[in-house]
Amino acid sequence: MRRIKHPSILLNVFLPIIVAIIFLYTYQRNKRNAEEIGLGESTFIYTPYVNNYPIHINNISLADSMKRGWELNGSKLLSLWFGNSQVHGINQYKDGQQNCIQFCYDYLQPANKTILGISYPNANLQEILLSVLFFTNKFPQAKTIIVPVFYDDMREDGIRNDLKSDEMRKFFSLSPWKQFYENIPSIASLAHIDSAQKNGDMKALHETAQEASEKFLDSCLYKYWSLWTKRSAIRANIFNDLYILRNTSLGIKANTIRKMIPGRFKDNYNAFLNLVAYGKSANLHILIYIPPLRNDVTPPFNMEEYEAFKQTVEHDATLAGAKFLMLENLVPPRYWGAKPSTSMGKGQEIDFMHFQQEGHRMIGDTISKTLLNSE
Amino acid sequence: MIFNSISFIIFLIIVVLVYWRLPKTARLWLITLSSLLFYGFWKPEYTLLLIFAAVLDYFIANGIDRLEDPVKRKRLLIISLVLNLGILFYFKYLVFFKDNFETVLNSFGNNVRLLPYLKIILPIGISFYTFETISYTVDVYRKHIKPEKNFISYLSFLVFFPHLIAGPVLRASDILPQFNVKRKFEWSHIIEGFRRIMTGLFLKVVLADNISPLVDQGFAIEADKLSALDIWTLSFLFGFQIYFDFCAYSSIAIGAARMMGIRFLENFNFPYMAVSPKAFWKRWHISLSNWIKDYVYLPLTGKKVSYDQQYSISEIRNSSSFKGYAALFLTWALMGFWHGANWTFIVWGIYHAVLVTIHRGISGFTKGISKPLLNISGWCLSLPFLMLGWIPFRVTDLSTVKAYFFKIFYPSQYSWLGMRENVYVVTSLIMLFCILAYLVDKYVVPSIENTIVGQFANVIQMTFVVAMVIVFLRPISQFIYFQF
Repeated sequence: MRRIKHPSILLNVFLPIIVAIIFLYTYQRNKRNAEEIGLGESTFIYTPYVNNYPIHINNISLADSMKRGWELNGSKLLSLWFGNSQVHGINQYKDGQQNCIQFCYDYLQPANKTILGISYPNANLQEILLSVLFFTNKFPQAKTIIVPVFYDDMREDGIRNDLKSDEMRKFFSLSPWKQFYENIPSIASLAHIDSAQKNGDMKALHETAQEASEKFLDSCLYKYWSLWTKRSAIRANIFNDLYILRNTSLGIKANTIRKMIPGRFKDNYNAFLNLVAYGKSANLHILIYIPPLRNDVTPPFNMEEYEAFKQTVEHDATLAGAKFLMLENLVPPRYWGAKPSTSMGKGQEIDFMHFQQEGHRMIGDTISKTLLNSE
Repeated sequence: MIFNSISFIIFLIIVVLVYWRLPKTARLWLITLSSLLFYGFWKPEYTLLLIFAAVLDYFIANGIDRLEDPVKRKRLLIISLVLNLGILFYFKYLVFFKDNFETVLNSFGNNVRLLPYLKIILPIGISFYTFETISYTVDVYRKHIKPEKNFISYLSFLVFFPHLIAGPVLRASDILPQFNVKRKFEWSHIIEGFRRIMTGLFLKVVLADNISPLVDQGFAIEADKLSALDIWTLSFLFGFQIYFDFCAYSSIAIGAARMMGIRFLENFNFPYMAVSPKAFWKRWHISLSNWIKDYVYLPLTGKKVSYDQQYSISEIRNSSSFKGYAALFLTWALMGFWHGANWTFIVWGIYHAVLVTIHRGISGFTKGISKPLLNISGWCLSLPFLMLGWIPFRVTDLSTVKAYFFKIFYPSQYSWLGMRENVYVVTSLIMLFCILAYLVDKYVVPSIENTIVGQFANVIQMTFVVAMVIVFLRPISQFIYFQF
């Protein structure tokens, strides 16, 4: 083969940089926002507002605004509904539709009662416990908490960055409710995380002289280079593409059975037990429910384990004085939906988690009736 | 200043542009001032410590050179060693010894709190520059090199920003001669430097930083919730993380120096392809392994040091004696202790000494086995145990090390998994990636290097690397070796 004596700067340095930039512009053009990737194209994140104040949030920074709205609305008798994306995601969404929190809110209005929602995608029970402790202290007037116990979220672990805010960490360093999270390492450690450990693009530079220069340069790039502003969305899309590649090559589909992870199950279940124990000691009404599950197809669970899980949750919830609802078969198959395939190709896959507006209406109706009847 | 930042990229472009426009002496000034600025971006006050180390050994080395009396020469060397190691001891080890002393005292029923308000911030890079300045003075003492007469030359060697924070551990004899000639600008310096820097950034911001959350989450799980397979997986995964992280730093350091026409020796050479524990240490952190060999191991064995010898620290043939083994274990314990003031690092060092000793024992029985078979079986046997060695390196207390190590001996611990499936998939893929990269580097690259095909492949590869670096470049984490 012919040998090149003098490598060219144009070919070796400038060409890769130029082609890389063109490639990235092209790549990001047809991609979605990071927030949309998690739920898939068919499911819409819906968090309702009333009089410009949120009644349902999936970001803790909106907690104060939600509280302000509740106060302006007359500080009515309050219930707090926690959950995962099933609560805020509407499958096959059309303009004007609403989710279960808003249905429930509307049903309770005439009785001079109200409800507020707090949900996060894939929320595990450690995060739910943390949120319950935080929000019931932020809203000491809250009388009831509603918590769904999702079997597949028992595989999740850790605390998302959004829940590691300074306010949250301060609360957990002073909280008188330590006994309810001391045995949950992810929550117990919150009080000891300093700002440098919090996630962020510049955490390695915390309290160094470089922090200022880096922030300045980063802000300049944000201002003058459109690609720089899209980097987080590109990263999310790259990971999503890798996820699709993994699913395709390993044959993983929505209905592939996921094994339970013992350590995570233990931590999440401990969080659940602590949650009901906390509710009892704080004189809260607790409403625990097994959430709706599509019942015309086999779910991606080990059914034996799932059946045992449901029974245990019911037993332990009832034992702790909580009200238990089995809503597993509440939403009929026609109100569920599909989502774009998570493998390569253009097919559709069953969505086991999110249903259409009618499903939200049904669960909102059930929860509101329970709340109206219980007090 | 950390390499994985926009500040560093801008800083490097400015320094390189100015550097090639200056005469030789001014270049040394530029290197010195820019390096102090680079270091000062972390904590400006600690640059004084760095300058003190340079001043100390500059004068002591020149003093040693002027003296003929061996006793006086030795006295000066001892002063240098005591001061340098004393500073290192204060910043890095004082709290460790204080804590252990307290533990011993309190085990007799006391309730002692020594120096309760003691809070020491470890100056980054201190372990590296202390070793470099010690090796310079020892080399002068051994008459291996003549001392540098120009203080700015010596200072610029010690503070030269590419290697300042985390190596490679350079020798004055390699670098000072390069500083003392005026180098002509060549585009190849820039091309080679660019490639090394981009490759390093890719390893850091794309691979190491994205493996890091998996490793952190895995090691945050209590030991009783992990299976033996999880322990193996985590040891491999952390092994990859620390390799990509540290290799990235070395690659960027080599590239940055190359852009200024300075050549550093390689610090890594596909360490996880090593066919024995001994071979691993010829491929991993090569500059430190050589340093330890020349300045710790050989003196401990009582062997006279000769600079044309190519011994590695596990290769001395007379080491079957008690003294040889004692030297081996002590060297490795010190190697571990250099990495961090914790018993876990000492355990890590001794673990490697045990691996080297076992390998020596086994290698006596391998005569007659064909080399390819020996290499493959050596690799298959060595790699898991080398990876397992990262457990004491990563965890922070001996009880966890014990809990992890015990798990792998229980067959019942092999029947379940304690982490998400992705962790095992990612670990397997990285292992495959490492094997593939090694095979390509060994068998494909030499045949297409400097050809049109090679050029084309290079452009494709660099385009991908640059694109990923643009997307992932964020100073979210420091390099792991900063803490040492």
